[in-house]
Amino acid sequence: MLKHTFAVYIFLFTTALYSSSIEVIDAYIRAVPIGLPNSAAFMKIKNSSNKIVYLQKVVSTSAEKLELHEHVMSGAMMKMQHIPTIEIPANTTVELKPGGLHVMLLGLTKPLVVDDFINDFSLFFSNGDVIQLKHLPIKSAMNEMKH
Amino acid sequence: MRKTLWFILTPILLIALTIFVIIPYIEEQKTIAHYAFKLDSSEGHVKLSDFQGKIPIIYFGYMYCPDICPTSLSVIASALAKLPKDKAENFQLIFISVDPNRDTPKALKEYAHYFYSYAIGLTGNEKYLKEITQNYGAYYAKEYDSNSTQEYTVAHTSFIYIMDKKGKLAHKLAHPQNTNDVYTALLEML
Ligand SMILES: [Cu+2]
Repeated sequence: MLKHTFAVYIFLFTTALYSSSIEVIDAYIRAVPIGLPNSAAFMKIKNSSNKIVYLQKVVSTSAEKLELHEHVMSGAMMKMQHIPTIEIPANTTVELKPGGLHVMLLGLTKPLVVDDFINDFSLFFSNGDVIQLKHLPIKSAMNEMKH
Repeated sequence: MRKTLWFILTPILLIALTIFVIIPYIEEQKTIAHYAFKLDSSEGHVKLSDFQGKIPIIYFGYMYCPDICPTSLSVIASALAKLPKDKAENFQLIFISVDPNRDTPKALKEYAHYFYSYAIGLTGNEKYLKEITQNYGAYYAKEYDSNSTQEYTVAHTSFIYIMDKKGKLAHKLAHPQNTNDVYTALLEML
């Protein structure tokens, strides 16, 4: 039964991927200690079309608000700031990764425990593509280091 | 004859003693005092000198930090985990929160443990934290982003400070994202 459900997820996931020019690869949310209100999601976004596409919005019930963020240097300091969109140039893969771009989750509605999953996480793109991640893994920052 | 010899030797010895022993000692004490601190943990005051004989690894950040702090702490924890247990025990990971309004010593304890079981979390009052971070050459500033729903974030430098067993600065690693860089620095300390 579990295997079956998983297969359906994979199927849904892959159909979402191959039906559009935008692919989301290796997406995950970072696990945080219980009680902390915020976390971040990271992934690679591949644009295989010949046009610039913008990630415009992310929707999920896992947090009260989701924002697109970047890190910038302010003197010697790292500063995180809200940006309206993330640009994915034509035929390019943009990586959202620790220390750089991320989807910021503000006001977590459930604890983010390692090895658990988020079942709804939708990314809206300027070309009309919507990518729904139904099995987004929650990983510890420690695990990220391993690969 | 002997008297004359002593008459010449004594000042030379005294000068040598001053140059090679007393002045370095005073300088060392000054450096130790420069990096010394007394902050709050959930179990009461903690001073850097409490860890004499251990190698403190110090990181300044804040708990609400969603990315830079967890990444840095994980990098340090992974580097420590690469060491054999008896070697890792030589180090003391210390997370110092520069956001005492939101980060209580009790929450900081759990936060530090989450990344590394032997890590501790400390904080203090704002004025004192400014002073300490300045001594370490670390900087931070509250940022109020009107475009964001967050109350505020804290922009901060992301250095890892590795101290020697006496409490003097041995390494200052600039925003390392790589476990091996930290691991190499840790190995050098052993
Ligand atoms: Cu952010």
